[in-house]
Amino acid sequence: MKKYIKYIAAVLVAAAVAGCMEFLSVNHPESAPVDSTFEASFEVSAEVDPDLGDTRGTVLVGVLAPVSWNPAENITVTYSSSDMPGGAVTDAPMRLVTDADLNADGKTWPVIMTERLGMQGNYEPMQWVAFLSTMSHTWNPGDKFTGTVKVSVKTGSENIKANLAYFIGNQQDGVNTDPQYYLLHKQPFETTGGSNAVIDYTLPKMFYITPDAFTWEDIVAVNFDPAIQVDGKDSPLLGAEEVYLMAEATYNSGADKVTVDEISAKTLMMKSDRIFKLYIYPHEFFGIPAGTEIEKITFWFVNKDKSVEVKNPSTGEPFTSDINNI
Amino acid sequence: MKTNAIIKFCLAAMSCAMLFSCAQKLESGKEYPILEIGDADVVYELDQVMQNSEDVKPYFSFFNDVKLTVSYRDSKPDKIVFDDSGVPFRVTGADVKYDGVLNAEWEINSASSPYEIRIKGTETVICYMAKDRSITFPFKLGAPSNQYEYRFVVADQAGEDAGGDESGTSDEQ
Repeated sequence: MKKYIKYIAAVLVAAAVAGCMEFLSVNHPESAPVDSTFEASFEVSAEVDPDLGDTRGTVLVGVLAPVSWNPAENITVTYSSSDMPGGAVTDAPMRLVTDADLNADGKTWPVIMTERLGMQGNYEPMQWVAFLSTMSHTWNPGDKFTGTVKVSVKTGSENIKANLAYFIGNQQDGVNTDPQYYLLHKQPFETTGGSNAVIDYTLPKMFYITPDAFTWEDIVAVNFDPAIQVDGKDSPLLGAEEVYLMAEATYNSGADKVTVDEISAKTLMMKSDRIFKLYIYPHEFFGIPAGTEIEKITFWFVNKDKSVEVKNPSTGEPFTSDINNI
Repeated sequence: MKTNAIIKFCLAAMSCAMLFSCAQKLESGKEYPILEIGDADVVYELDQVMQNSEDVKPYFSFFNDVKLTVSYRDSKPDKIVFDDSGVPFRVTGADVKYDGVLNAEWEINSASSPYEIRIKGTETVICYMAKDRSITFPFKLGAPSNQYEYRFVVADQAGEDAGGDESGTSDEQ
C-alpha cells in the first residue's frame, strides 16, 4: 500500500516540476480613469524542462482586454531580465502578432488564446491580443532565469468593470494544453470617471450571442436566460416551458428589413437547464441571399401565444448585439 | 487488499493514458493505410459540421442531404462529386469552380498530413483525407477566428468511429 502511494506521489511531483514557471509578483492597478494609460508588471521565474531535448527562445505574451479599447493599437509590451541566458535584456519591445504568426495548429495566436483560455468570465466583447519578442534567445533544458513583463494599456471612454487577463509563455510551447508551460493571471478591473453607468462585463446576461466572436455571416446561437433578474425582478418568461425567438434583420443600407415573428418549429428555442437557445444561420433564417450584407439584427422573446414578450429591460426595445469580428 | 487493487488499476490506467498519448503523436506521421481500393465509388455521409469545437449539424436540417462520393478507377483516384444540396453557404475555396455541385477529377498529395485531395493537375486543395479515410472540408464564414469544418465519414459510419472497412463502398468491377 505505502509503496504505491509513494509511487503516485513521485509521479505527481515529477509532473509538477516538468516545466516550471511562476509569478514572483504582480503589480496591477484595480482601476484607472477612462481614456488614460496604466501600467502593469509581472515578475516571473522560469525553468526550462531539463528533459526537453530542445531549446526555447521567443517570449509570447497575450492580453485579454475589452474590444472597445481597441487593444491591438493601445497596448504595448516590453520585457526585462538580468539573468537571462545569453545576456541581460532591458525593456526589450515586443511586436503585435500578425495573421502570418501561426501556432503549431495553424491558427493565429489570438484565435488559439480565445479557444483555450476563453473570455475569463466576461459576457461582453473582449479580445485576446498577442505579442512576440523581437530578440532571439536560446534557453536550454535546465536553464533558470527571472524576468519582468511590463504591459502598458490605454483604456477606453466608458466606465466598465471587466476581467482583464494576461498570458505569459513562449512561442515554442504556445498555449499548451498543459498549463504548466505558461502563466495566466486574471485581473478584475474597473474604469472610472466616464459619463455612463458602469457596464459590468462580468454579469451573466439575459441575452447573448455565441460564439464570442461572430458576424452575421456566421452560424450563431441566440441565448436567452430568463432566470437573470433585472432590478430585482424576475423575467416574465421565467418558468415558461416554451420560448420562441422573434427577430428582425436590416440590410441594404437600412432600406430593407425582414421580420421573423412566427410561432413555429423554426423559432422554438431549445431549453437546456435554464437557458433557451436557438442556432441560426442568419441568411437562411431571414431568407436573405448569401452575399447580401446583413447590417443589424434585433431579437425579442415570446411565449407560445405571444401574450408575454421580453425585450431589453434597459431600453424597452428589442435586444441587439454588436458584431465582434475577432 | 481491495485498496491495493484499486491503486493497481489506477496505475494501469495512467500507464495506458501515457501510452495512448504517445500513440497519438505517432499517428501524426505519414504511415497512412493504402487508399487505392480498386474500382469503387465510395459514398460519404456528412457526420459533423464543426464550428470551433462544437458540432452544429444537429441544429440545421439543410445539412441532411449533403452528398460526397469519391471514386477510384484502376486503383487510382478518379472523380470527386460534392453536392451541397442547398446549404446556404459554400465550403469550397473561391478558386474552385463550383455552383453548388463540384464534379472534378482528383488526385492525392500524400506528402502532407493529412492527405490533401487536390483537383487533378493543379495545386488547388479541395479537402483533406485522414488515415481513417474520413474527409474534411475546412471553411470560413464570418469572424476570422471561427473555424468551420465539414467532417464526412464513409456511409453507414456516421456517428460511429470511421473505421477502415469497406462499408459504403460500391464495387463496380
